[in-house]
Amino acid sequence: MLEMNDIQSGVLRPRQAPYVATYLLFRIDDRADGREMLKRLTPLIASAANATSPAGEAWAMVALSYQGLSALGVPQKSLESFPPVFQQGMAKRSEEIGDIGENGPDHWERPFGSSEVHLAIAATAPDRPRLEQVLLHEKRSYQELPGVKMIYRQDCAQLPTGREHFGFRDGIGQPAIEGSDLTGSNPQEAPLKAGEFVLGYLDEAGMMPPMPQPEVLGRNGSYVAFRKLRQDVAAFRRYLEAQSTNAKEQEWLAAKMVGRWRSGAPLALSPEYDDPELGANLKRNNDFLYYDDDPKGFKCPPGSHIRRMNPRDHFKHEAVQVNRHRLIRRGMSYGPLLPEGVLEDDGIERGIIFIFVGASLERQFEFVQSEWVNQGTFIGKQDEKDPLNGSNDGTGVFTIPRQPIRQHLIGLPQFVTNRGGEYFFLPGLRALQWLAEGTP
Amino acid sequence: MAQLKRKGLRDGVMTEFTIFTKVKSGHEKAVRETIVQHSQNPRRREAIQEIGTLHEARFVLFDNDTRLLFCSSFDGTWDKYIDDFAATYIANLFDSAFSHCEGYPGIKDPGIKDWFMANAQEAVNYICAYPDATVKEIWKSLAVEKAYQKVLDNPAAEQALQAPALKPLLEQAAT
Repeated sequence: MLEMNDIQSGVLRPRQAPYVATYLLFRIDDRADGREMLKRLTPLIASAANATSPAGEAWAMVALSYQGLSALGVPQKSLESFPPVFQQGMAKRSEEIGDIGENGPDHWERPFGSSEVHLAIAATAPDRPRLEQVLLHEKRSYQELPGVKMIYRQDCAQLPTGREHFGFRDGIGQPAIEGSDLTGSNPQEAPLKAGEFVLGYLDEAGMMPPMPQPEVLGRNGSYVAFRKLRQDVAAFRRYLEAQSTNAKEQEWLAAKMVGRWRSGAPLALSPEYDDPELGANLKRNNDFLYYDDDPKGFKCPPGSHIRRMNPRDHFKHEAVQVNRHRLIRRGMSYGPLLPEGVLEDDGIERGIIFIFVGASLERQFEFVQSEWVNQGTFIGKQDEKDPLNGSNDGTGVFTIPRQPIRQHLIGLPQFVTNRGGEYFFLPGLRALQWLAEGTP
Repeated sequence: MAQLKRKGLRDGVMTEFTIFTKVKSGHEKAVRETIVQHSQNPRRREAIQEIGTLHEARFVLFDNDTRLLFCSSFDGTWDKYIDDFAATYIANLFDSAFSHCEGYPGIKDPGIKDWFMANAQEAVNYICAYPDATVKEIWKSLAVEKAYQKVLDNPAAEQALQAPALKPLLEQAAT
């Protein structure tokens, strides 16, 4: 059984709708102040068993980077028990995960990519007043502590459309996790072993994944990849317009690139036209597989965004085990909508805060980034990247299988740019107490 | 910090991966029998289809079967897929052959990558005749060539290939 009362609620709890959220990053200059902050903060963190925090529907999460654990004085032996990828941090892994060119750490917003990002707090609520309440509680945890400095703040809010900036319903695909009440959005997928997402449990290989030591620190923890992704909405619209002769064709191309129509209706179930009722139906909009019905991708292209992020049973007759590369994903939009019809960028930052949660940065997040998002060897097209968020450079290609002749989209630019990110460890509640106490 | 850098030279999309291991004393006969047995298993053809990124691989016993060489060429990186292979026939093959070798922890063991890395030797020179083609692209190319030959065998092909859009195909038709 999952120790729900020790797991941070944010691991298992899907994004609310509507949502507002704030991410705060801190640098810990003084070990004692850092521990004091954690001590004050821990009671605010809701567990998965009791998903509501003192502020009601609103809740908080806290996570630490490798540098942060080190700044708190975690013993060297324990630090070394974390996986090398986590120890290195996202910036040092940039080439491995396709953060090259404009996505590279040299271009990131500060403090991302520096050694100063130590501790992250996320606060989420259904509305601004309740968010402010959580933030106020959080503030008490770090005020008057000179050895802890807030170095970054990012506010997020659901857009008035209820969709992300490119205009698509998002947050649909979530895996089911065995032993939790997280049922997942695809009834055709068996629940995954909890060890794929939370440390201390059996994973899909029937093994206990390696866990940081001592056990009190590692158990019920997860890893997080945090990314601030800028979306170039104007460029996306211009590209669609340039590649099509009418609005209907634009929508068709956009759907082929994503794998869903803007309403959220999947091409796998509605290949010819958008079906907003299907898109909004949470019981049906993720109820599909690929292999038996659409092996060649005439409905949903193998290279489309959603088929890359989760190929489902695409590898039915191949060695690749999709269940070993699943992600819990949370996306939160930031910045204002680019008004409909505008084709020139207004210079305002907008995009999505992408959060991965799982038991392995390397086998889950990095694998998907390097093998499925930023190349296409797995679909027999090595040079093709995710048409939506791959690191394309103006020469990107996307194949749309179609009878009798496949269609090629060419000259794909980059629509999504990484503005910075970091790897964090999201400890269980007992581990937070352990860290706050500073034992040994 | 544990070793992160992987070993193996690249040529285009292809990587070589070579490991040298010591056969456990007294296991010389058993290791040879195991590998021979696998070489006769029809399942191995399916296995290489399932991998889809492995160009070729060989097991070589030498020094009176006291040492085992495993040598392979594949698309991309081997270490990322070790976890995937753990659930397949390849796991069975690796486990049964390498279990006769010193220190082999088993393919499902978290230490498996370290074991491979510790026993790997990077090539000094590595070259491939088709460095830019992945296994799946080669399979597709062969299927297209087969289809093309079928077209050429049709008496109507000569006329059909005159269409301007088919000029690149016509240029390939004479030989």
